[in-house]
Amino acid sequence: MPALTTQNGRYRIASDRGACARLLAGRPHGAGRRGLFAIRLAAAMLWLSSSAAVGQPTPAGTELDEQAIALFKELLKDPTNVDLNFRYAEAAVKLGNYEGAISALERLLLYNPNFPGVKLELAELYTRLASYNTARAYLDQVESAPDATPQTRARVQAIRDQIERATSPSKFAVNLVTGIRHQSDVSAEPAGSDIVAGGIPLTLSSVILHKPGWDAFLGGNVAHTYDLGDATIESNALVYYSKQFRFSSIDSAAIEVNSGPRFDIGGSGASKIVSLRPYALASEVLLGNSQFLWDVGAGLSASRPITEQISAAGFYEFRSERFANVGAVPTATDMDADVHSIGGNLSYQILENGNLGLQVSYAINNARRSFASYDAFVVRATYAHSFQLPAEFGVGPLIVSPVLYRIYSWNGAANPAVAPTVIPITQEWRFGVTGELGLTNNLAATAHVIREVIGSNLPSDRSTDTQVIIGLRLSY
Amino acid sequence: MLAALGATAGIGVANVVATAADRPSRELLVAHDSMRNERIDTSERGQVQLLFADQSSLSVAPDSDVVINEFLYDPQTQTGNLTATVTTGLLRYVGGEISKNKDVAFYTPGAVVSVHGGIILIKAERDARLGRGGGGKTEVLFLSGDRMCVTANGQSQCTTKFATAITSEGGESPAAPVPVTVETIRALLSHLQAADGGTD
Repeated sequence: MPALTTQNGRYRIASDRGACARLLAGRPHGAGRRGLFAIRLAAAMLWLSSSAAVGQPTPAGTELDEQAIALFKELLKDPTNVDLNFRYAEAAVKLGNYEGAISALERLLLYNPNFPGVKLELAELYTRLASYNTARAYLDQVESAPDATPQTRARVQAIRDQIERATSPSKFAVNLVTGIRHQSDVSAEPAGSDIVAGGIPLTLSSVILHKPGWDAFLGGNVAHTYDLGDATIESNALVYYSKQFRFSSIDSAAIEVNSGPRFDIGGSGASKIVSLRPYALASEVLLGNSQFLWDVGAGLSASRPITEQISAAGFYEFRSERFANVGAVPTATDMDADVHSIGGNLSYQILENGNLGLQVSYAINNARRSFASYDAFVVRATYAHSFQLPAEFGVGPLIVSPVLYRIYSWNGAANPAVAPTVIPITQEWRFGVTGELGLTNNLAATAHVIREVIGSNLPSDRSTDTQVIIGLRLSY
Repeated sequence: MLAALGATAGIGVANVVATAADRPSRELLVAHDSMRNERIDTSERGQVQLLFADQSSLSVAPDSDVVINEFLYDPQTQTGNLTATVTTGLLRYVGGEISKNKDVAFYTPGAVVSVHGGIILIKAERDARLGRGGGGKTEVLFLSGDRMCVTANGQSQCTTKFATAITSEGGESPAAPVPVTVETIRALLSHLQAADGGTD
């Protein structure tokens, strides 16, 4: 167990091997260094809640896509060929072209309505399109057939149950991620975190040890929506726990809950002007298994599609943060602050299977002590590309996402205990790549490699770190 | 031709009478890259599905009268145009590439239906007192897709909610979208399937 000492005005941790490691207590200076940038827990969990890499339609341009086109050209020559229609429908479903599959199957019913299997397939396809009453209409037809077998009735019931779940106003979605991480410069920063300006838990990433180390982590995101008709109540619970293999003083745990209504302005669906969600939030953070931070706040998020390929979103958030002094950070209460953050992002589907993202955010942290106050500006660019793997591999798709950050921060004042005449200013580059391989419909393997390079006008604030993360993601 | 194909495939067959205004009568099933002013007039037991090159399709129920005003499709750009007139009867449109990029328009005696993506059912009834092309009732069901609008008497009603219907009667302004029951959908779908028993 490392013991905290002070040296040259900075907190340091003397590890059990006697090596010194830096602990930035209460961000008294060097606001630009890693960890002085807010990690918004909700954003930190974005990678948890991102869509699964598996079970997605095959993108266009693949071998299957070409096969479907070839089948369709054959259909144009021989549209009543039953086998051809089935093969085309199967290919269309794999491509996510449910309308194409429906067209082919309904064509068969045009000639012969006594295809209960076809009607069941149609019911499933309409269910996938969320056209539940149409699905029910086909299920009624199947059930009313005098020769419907017990197996057929069982499948009808299974689809009805699926529709009931889908149409229930109350829905849950769960993502879990677990794995291990190696850092060349250990911190308590959440594994796989995403950084925006503002938010919490700041000090989960402010603890930096100039030593390499491993940790095991578990993160989860439970999302609940309740449909009110013209609006939905969206609630999220985000949890994170990290157990360091060597440095238990920076074991970290966090939970955040947020809840608020989402509603469209100016119509609904494609015709809406903007989708708004005001929300309230509360968070709790433990560091080294001790109470460290709680906060409450509120925010407003807005999103809208610009074109079919481009969508935009923005947010404003306020948090009132209250720290507790702990053994590792005895002056943590200096960081008690009101934090205002604002940001926006653009998402551009630049290719059929490639998406470009740009995120900008700015935070103003008004801490109780001026030297702990800071402003931060974050720019983040990402690109996600989905590769469809050959069918014989039995897994996929593989989604590869390079990411690049540029982060600036400016402290509110010099820390008299560290560098009385220097107001810290830092700039950080952060870049890396994430890979996610779908293993089953609900399970994906994930890997991250992230490199951070921090520059500062205070030499002691300069640092570098490389994180390697390997994990599994379960979603349902 | 259809009878022969149906027999070969071992499936039922429609009794289709399709005519082109300026051409000899002929059966239609596939629309390649272009089509203009093709009329499909199904008999009491006739049914047909038009399969378009953009992967959309038009299923026409018995006792229907439909004219494909224009179908143009460029496979390279996956763009084109589709407009049709439904004088009377029931049809189902399942959208393809064209409707993903632009609205597809259907004209009925008293209204214009536009749909972006997705699947709709159009039921048109002619007002016998007004004759062909005048008044009547148009009921359109939105089963899936991005958006569907019905315009009549200079006013439009749109819906994005599945299993809703917009109705216009006598050329009057369309009514607001209303939910439709499973039974209604089931009954209309049955009209678009072969009569029980298969081959005619």
